[in-house]
Amino acid sequence: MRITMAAAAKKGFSNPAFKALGIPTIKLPSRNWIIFWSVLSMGLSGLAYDKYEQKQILKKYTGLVKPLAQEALPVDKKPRKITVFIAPPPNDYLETSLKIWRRFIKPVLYYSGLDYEVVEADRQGIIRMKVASQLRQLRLQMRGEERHPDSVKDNSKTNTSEPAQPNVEIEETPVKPIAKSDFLGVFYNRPKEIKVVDEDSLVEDPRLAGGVICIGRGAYKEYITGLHEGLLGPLQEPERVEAITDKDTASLSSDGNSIKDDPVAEQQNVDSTVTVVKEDKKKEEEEKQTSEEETPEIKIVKPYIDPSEYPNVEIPSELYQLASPDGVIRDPKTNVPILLYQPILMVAIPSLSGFSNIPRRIYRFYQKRHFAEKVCSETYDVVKQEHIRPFEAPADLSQGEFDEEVDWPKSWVKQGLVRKSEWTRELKCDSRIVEHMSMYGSKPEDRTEP
Amino acid sequence: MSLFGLGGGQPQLTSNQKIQAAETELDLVTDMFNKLVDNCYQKCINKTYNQGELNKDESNCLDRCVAKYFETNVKVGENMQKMGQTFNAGGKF
Repeated sequence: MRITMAAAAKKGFSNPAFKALGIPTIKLPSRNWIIFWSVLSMGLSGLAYDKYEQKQILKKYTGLVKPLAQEALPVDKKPRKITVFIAPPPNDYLETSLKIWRRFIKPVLYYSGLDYEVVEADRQGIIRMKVASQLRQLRLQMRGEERHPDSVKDNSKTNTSEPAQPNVEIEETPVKPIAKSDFLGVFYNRPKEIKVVDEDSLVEDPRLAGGVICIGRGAYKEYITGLHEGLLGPLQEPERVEAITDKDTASLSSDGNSIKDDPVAEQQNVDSTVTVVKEDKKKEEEEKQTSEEETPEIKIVKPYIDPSEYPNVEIPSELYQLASPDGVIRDPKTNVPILLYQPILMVAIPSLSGFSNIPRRIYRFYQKRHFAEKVCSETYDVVKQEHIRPFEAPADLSQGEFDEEVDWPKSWVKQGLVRKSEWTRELKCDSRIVEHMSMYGSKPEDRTEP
Repeated sequence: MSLFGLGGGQPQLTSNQKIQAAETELDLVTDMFNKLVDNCYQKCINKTYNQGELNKDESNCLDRCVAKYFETNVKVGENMQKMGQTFNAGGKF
């Protein structure tokens, strides 16, 4: 009895003064409690430390960038505009990629006083379709101008690189139509309307105009295919008469995956001029390919050109600037170099799924600061435009392949291959297009290292 | 509205009523514009007035502010209209 008492007395720490104050003996909790508390506090403090570091990193880069936003911007200018393409990682929601955008990229762009346009894609094909249709619109416009050479005069500045245009040489002072605002009434004393110019249209080097950020390997793949499709593909949707793909559709629609009958979509189909049943079937298949079953607002059109056909296609006549390495195609309206010339930044989304990956996921969860540092510094690079290099064809196509694509769920990839998904296909490029492209950041070899 | 669908259609507006309608609409638009200018000014312009000109930060902020304000205004207007319609329909027999 005495021995146990002595042992118990030894364990804690006490003092007559403490006792007088009513403070009980201070002693360590039991072994199990110690384990519990230490594990808990380690977990929480690791998380807190990581978050704190992320905040510091963000603070550092936003601080670096803030002075840029203090520059004066005349009212008739629009700031440089970055286009951001965001795609979700496979088998996941868009929110995952939006988080990266919102946490690490947007603040840096915001505080640097740049404008940004976000293209979100919750389904495969949206980014490709948007990029391609934008380029096709542009080509249609340019084609229209070629037919009516009078209208070229307004854009004579655009075409100075092209000497073969006879209209450019003749410098006529264009007769201004007389408007009543020139001499009449309240308009007479008013300042004339200001024409707003993009800052991007004023830079000499087209690579310094704008910029593109692709978040996710899928977005990157789709963006590049979209560029090729828009520039090399036909302007009108080609008729598809392949019997093989049709069989595929048939087999796919019977694989038990329910197609949600969408009355709105059906009506649209009926309304549209293309009422061929075959087309409808294809569209249905497109819809089915999407992971989400919500009512699709945008219809995904199949690519107008297959990547294997790139080398067989001639450069369209309206894009004569593509043939020379220095030629620049500019948007006829805004005079901004088209997306093709704007350098790209690819941000890989670290996404792991599966039970066996849980340890790696935990590790990554506590190491997020390194990812934050990488993304923030790359975005800072985009803002500063100090490191821009030409696109290197085979090396840059695999950007993000080892950061992200290797982690894509195997079953998803298998399914994608069966369904001919755009994401699982090998990314192909054409040297005539690629030679005009450029990337932000250092060489690909340096970037792929962990 | 008539009971048996006779004499339907809108009643003819006199020019006086038309002018009144135009005035109220102008009032609405002016009011909205003033509110927009005020809100975006409060939100975006730095009150220390270091510079005479707008800087990038402010002009971007103004740009987004105006765009958002218009969009919200349109959406709220649409919804109100819808609500008004359903209310009318509900009150009618």
